[in-house]
Amino acid sequence: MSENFNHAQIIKDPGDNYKILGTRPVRHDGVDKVTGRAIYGNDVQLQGLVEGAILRSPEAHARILSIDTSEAEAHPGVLAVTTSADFPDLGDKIANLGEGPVNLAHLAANCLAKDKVLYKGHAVAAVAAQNVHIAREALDLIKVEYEPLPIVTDVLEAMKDGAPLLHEGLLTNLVPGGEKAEAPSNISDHHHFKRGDTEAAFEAAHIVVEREFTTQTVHQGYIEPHVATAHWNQDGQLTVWASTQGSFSAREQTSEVLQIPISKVKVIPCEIGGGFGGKIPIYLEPVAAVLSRKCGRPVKIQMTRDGVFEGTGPTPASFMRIKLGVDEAGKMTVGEAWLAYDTGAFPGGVIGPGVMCVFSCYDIEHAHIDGYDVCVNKPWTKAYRAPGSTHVAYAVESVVDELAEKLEMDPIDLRLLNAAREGTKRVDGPVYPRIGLIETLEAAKNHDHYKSPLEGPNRGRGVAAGFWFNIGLKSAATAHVNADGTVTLLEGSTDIGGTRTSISMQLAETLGIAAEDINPKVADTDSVGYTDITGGSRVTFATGLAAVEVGKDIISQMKERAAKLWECEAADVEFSDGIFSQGDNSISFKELCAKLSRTGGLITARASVDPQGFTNGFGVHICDLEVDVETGKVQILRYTALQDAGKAIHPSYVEGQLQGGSVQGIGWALNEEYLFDEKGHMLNPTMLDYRMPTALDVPMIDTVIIEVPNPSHPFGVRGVGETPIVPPPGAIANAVKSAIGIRMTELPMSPPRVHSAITEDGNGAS
Amino acid sequence: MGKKIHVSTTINGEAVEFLCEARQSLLEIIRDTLTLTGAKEGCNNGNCGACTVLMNGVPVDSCLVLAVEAEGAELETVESIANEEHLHPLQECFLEGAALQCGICTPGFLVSAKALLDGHPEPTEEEIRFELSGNLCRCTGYDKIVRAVQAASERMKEVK
Amino acid sequence: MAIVHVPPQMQKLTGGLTEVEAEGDSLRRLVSNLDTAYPGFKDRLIKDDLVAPGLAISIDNVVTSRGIFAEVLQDSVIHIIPAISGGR
Repeated sequence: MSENFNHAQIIKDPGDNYKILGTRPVRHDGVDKVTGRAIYGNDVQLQGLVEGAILRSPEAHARILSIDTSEAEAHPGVLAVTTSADFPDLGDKIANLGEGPVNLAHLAANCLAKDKVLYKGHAVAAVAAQNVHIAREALDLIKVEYEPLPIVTDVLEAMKDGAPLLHEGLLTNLVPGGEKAEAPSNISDHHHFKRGDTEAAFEAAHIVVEREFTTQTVHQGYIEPHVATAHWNQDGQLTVWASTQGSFSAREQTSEVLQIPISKVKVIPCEIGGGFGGKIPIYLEPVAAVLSRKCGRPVKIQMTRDGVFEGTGPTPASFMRIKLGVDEAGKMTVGEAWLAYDTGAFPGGVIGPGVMCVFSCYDIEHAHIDGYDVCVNKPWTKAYRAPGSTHVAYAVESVVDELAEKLEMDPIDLRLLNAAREGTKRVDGPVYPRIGLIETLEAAKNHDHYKSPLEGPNRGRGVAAGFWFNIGLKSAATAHVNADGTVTLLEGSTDIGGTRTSISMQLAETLGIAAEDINPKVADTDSVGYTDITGGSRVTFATGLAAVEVGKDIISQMKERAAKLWECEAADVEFSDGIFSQGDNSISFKELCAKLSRTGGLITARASVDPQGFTNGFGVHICDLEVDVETGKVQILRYTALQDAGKAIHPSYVEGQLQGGSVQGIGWALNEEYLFDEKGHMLNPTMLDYRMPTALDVPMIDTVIIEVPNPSHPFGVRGVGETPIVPPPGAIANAVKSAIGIRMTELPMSPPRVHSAITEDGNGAS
Repeated sequence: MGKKIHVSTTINGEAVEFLCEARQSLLEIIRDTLTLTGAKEGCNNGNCGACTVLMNGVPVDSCLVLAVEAEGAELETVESIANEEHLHPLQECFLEGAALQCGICTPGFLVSAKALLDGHPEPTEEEIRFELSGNLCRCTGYDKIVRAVQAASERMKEVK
Repeated sequence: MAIVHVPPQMQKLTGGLTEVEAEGDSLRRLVSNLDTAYPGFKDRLIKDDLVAPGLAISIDNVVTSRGIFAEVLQDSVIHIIPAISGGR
């Protein structure tokens, strides 16, 4: 075969001699996914299935005076209508739902508004009918009386005294510390970190650069709209077919909103058409459940695309002020960050990781960080791939670039001089274990892309670094060893990008068998042990770890069987490379499997893990681009993403994460934003107008994988999924500066913004 | 709604008849009535291409075609790309080249790519990107999709 | 004695001290001892046996998910940091 899929350059760790890890088997669910047979959320077909639709608020902020559903209920073909009146009263209960505490009243009121609507598109009521057309007709017959209230959509406006308040009783939470402010405001959290003496350090600094940046609301943009099917059985058992990043989390959220025991809820995870953080929260599940309870039939609700844009959690708009100081040699001595992210309609956005990530790439002695989480009349923001980190990386990497210019230093050299390494203490406290930022920067510096000349007018090159955590959390796995030498693996992590295979490969490596001999299944919440969400770049790391533990359990049980065969002690049986041996005896894994049923029965093994601690991933991106000065359009010419990925289990899917994250970052940098009118209505809730990148907008994305092993995983695995979205806006802004001499301090750098910046610059207004 | 309308059409080589309302899209009928759920609904307004099918050999967003317009048409969906025993080279190359992550856009890409290669067996990278620009993918960044189409084009040439 | 780094927003409790020492082989005992020396810590850090909403506790650079049951060593270093969550 002549084709070349153009694999990444991989910089291996010297100690690496794996057999299965690092190969590229075809994914286990592959054939189903290229033939159209895979069952996604909307492909569920059930006896008596009916369809639902959601009524959304036309107002961005209003009190609900009354809702009259009588005409809708009488409409032919309508089976049930629901509003928040059908939800139990939740008071102000906080529940810990796996990935963090959730205010249940907010969660429920976001699924169906209670006394107020807080954003245009806020769900207000829902209908189940014989088909979706009838359900939508009925929505028009629901009469809602609103009392419009003043709105605020801008994060800085919302922080001012006298701004319209979304939640009358909201008192700012002072974090870390838990103390509350005295007077209500829209500011839900104020994070604060300080170390050293920043004032004196700025005074002493050789060069200080201070800049302000703004970014707009962006959406994860998964192609599959949210969809849920619920069937509430007469015995009180609720089954939910969900498109979710975490079936156990969806089960907990649903049971809490409906106040029914988790044992009464089974969540069956369907194939999921993208998530990127946006499919962790629930929206439809309890609504479909209540409709099903009312009409006795299974109810499926799929959101419309404008419902997805207007009614689900995008990631926040922000205002950021960054100030950095360096000494004469270029050593960063001091940094200050003032960050305000909008959290949308309800408290609890992504400012926390924002404050932890802002200076995370650098070793800075004196630092001062303030971060604010601010409610505005927009959808409740949620995680989007490395939530909160892309914003601050755009701002900080722009300032670092400007420092390099002023110092007349190579921008990678400046970063190398200041890069975080093992032992560096982050501003919020924790000290880094073994990390690979230095190695990644060096690989970027030595890359052909960085060394190649870039010529031509209005062309420029930029680099930027980025950081994200990998969380651990809980995962479980169960395996059944079959007589033919294969292993069935049950795990609970929704597979969004090939994780069935990356998990199976770790079990295969442990057992010394082929990846194809593992048969992985993503099981429902009744069929596998508790597993946290697919998110935080954790699945290949933590569920992979569970698979390794399962493998060890299988080996130890099989050693006992081998000992029976050879009439020796199990402790004397050795295992390596798929062969059990003792003295002159030896037997392969497969051969021993064939003897299991006669030596005590087939084997089942299980593991449940809760790895403590973060690992960390760093990326460095290089971007060449050209600016069309007539129109302001930016064309990416060449793009390279390098990442400290730990051991790349399946390199093709690591490359895919780097490429996909880069292109999402390019979209964020160049085009994507929510546009609002003065009434708080989103003007572009379609994919064409929101303008995600198409195949024609981007070049091939080169990747380099630097395998700096993670010390807290047996194979050195780091999560890779999120970091790649972090560097692109900074790298692109720096390249635009190098192309046309203008520093773009607003995202997106869309043609109108770039064009007007060029025009203003031409008028000497820069 | 008024009376249902009778439509005769051919789908994946098989003659079928169905009754539909005037307001129903071809996508709805293919998925719900004919239970071929390979074509996906991503936007229902022709933006994303996840519902792409071939209508008389031409790729169309089936969410923008009314079911009644299918009268007398020949339709092909992703379900027809592989034969009984073998995957199509495009499908093989999508798998070997890891050109899908979540997979929701994959049926639409495969149908569009097949239409491209059927009419134009050796497209350039630029032509591939242009012809596939009506299909959105949010996971891959397109690199591996474009390379899979290139690889399939090579593989189909070798088979000939 | 473990060392607890006190974030700026809690330094009121320690009279301005940025780090304090406390005894305890679990987070529960450590926080309880801390609260005796500097009243108010327990309310701020622990809610219903879990680390308070929005907070995370790093013990020797590892963020624990075990709440009050997390193990603390003689010479552990403890940081109080924001929780990572994609919305609550």
